[in-house]
Amino acid sequence: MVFSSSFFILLFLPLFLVSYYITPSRYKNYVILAGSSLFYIWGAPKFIFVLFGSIVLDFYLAKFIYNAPQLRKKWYLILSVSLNTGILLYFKYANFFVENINDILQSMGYKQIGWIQVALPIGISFFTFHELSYIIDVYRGVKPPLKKITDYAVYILLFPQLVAGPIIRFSEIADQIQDRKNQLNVDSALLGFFRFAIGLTKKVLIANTLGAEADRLFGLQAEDLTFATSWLGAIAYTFQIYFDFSGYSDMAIGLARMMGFVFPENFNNPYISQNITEFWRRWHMSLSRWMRDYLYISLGGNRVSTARLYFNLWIVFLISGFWHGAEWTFIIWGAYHGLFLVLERLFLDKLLLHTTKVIRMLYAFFVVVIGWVFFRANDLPHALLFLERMFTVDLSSFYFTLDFRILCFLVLAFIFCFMAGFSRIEKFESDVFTFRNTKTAVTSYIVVGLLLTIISLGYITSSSFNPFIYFRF
Amino acid sequence: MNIRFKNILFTIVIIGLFAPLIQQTFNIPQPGLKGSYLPTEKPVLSWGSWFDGSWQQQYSDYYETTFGFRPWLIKIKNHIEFNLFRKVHSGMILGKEDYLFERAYIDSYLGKDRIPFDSAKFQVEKLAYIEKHLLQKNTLLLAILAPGKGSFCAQYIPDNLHPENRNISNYYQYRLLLERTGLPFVDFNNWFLAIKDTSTRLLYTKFGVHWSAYSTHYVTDSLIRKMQSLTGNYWGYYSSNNEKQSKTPKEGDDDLMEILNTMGTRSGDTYSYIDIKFHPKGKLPKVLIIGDSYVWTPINHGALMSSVADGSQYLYYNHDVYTYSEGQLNQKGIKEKSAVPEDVEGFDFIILCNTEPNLKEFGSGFIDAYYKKLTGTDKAPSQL
Repeated sequence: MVFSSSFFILLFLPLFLVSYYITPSRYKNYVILAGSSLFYIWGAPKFIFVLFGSIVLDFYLAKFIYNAPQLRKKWYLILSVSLNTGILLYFKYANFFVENINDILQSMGYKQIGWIQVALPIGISFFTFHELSYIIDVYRGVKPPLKKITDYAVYILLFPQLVAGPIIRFSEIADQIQDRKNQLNVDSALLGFFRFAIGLTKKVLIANTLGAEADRLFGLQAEDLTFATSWLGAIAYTFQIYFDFSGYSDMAIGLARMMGFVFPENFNNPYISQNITEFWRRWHMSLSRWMRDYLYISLGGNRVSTARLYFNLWIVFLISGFWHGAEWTFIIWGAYHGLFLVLERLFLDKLLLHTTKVIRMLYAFFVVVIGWVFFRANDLPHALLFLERMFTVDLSSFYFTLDFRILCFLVLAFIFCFMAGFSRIEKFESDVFTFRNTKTAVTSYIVVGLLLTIISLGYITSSSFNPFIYFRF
Repeated sequence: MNIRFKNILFTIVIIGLFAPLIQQTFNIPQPGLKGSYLPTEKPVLSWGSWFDGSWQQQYSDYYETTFGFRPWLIKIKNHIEFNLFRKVHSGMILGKEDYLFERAYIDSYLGKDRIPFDSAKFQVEKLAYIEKHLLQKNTLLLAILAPGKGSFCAQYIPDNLHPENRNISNYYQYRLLLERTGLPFVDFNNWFLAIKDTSTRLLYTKFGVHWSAYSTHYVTDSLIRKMQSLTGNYWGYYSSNNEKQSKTPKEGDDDLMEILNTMGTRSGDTYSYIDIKFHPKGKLPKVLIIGDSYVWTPINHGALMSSVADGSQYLYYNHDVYTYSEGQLNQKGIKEKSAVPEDVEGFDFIILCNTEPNLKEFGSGFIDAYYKKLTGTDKAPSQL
């Protein structure tokens, strides 16, 4: 089940919300459990057992960690981390490893390993990271383990963040699982709905439109790919992935808000960044925070030699890239960003300080766009072909007619992405999302939210409707 | 601020989210969607289909096409797409000055769907064989080349489709072949083009795919005269009066815009409508019409069936069977295209009517089916 579907918005969500609101506080978590289980089972019924199994396992391992003496704590931690990462490695990366080993074996003339492709449980990257966060936070003494397994299950299964994040660290939500009376009020519900509507619009109107164009351009044959079309494709994808991902995060944050949970922000106008370091403080912030808290710090953080620090940074980003998908292109994307992070610390930042804000923003945007080519391309040769076209200047290739609709959405995307580069607009944007307690403001939120939802639903449902004028036989 | 006011607002939100479910549950009337489409079947639930996730996907797809107020949502989206971005359905083309086309009409005008000349020749040879056989049974055959919007409104075809790069079309092939073989036919395509510049009323509308409702009084009048000239008999005439002008199109005159399903977009054209009446004088012929959707306009607006006898039939695409009786044309069922009506030789006239895009299957399969029935073979008449 996806948030941007009529089924979710018009059937699951209203039924869930009404059930949730009418249930007494002490039973609300059970409603969340039931709704979230149904949400997951709807999309992946077979894998619910993997999820339930890992929930039971981690809940009791966390208890053992909390109650065990120091030495055994570490072993339980190692066991839990190994099991969780093992499950992730198996389901998400086994196919990748076997394919690559088989490629090597084939090139050496050996027989390939027989292998049946493993299916990927939906959301495994996210719920594994949530489970690891829980275990590690308990181990570090940041938070005690939850007393009830059902509360822990709520943390893992909570449907707003279950399949596509944001990655919520246990410490950020632990108290809210057990008591969120202060956040569960009509103000949160109204703001949550508005936030959901904004996210839905970003995903359905902007991301899907630009995504279709990006798909078309990334699908061009080599002979049709030109300087202009390759740049157009790269930029279309750059905007698509932002509005898709941030839109989905907005929907998740909005849904959680309607339930009384306050999720941390996941995006903060990343394309106005002035270097890659800043970009990663604005893009998929929940992943950055998770990687910092549970991987980077575990590798030594900033308390190591400079060379080791740079190596750690690069490794963290390599793993981040790999986390996104089992393809070499994701690994290269992660390594590419890690490289620029290191280069900026080495000398690039000092160099950029001598330039203007606009130049720095252009530099960061350029680096990011190039990186997205790896992220989007079908495989490494495709990425290299695309990049080759992007750097083969041919101004005559711009002689084509850009679809007016695509142009409108590109301009809209550009405005929404870069307008926060102006401090006044960034403040205005912040004000919009801060709840104003006036009748006009609140009514405006809801009217705009409903209108955007209606229009988005129109786009969602129309994609399946393309009638003939008359049947022909 | 008043908590009660906020609670009311949020209640409105929840009711809004429930509105489609309420509409579906209580069957609150709503406008339908125009156009032909296959409904999605409700999936049957089983353990297997639940467990492998296929039922959930099918049910979601089913829900996607059946939830309440969906037509309104589609209309809102299409209205935005057309009026803001000038977007139309795939299969449709928005031409110059907002003329709407079905893609097939432009392709057939440009000759892109042309069948090989030998294939067209073979069809006409078979038709000539059929005509000779039918004459022995006192049944007359008449072919109608209906006009196509691609030909009639060629000046509105967008430049990016290169209307100047035209090849021989199926229409030209069949026109040539019918003339050569001497088979009786009416070329409304050529005739419409001939009167296009002098007509003071719309023969084709901006948003319609068929000849206009107004134009059909020319069509039925011409048709009856042709049929009477072929038989030498006289069985009546058409009169028209009470012409009205309107900015609101009647059904069929903006059928392409209708299937765009917007909130209501007007072309700004002035439509003309006229009352047509047939005055019977003598025994009416029993007619079998095999044709495409172009036949509907003369039926609905040109009183075509008033000039034929009870028992006449219309085989829509040689598939849907409509029988005329006591002033009503009712669907009696469907048939296979390969099936020939049992009483085919009992008609006074057999009329084949196709517009340009359907000329690649001229006769909608009737020629092949009847020829096979008569000869038992697919060989050319010259090889029999």
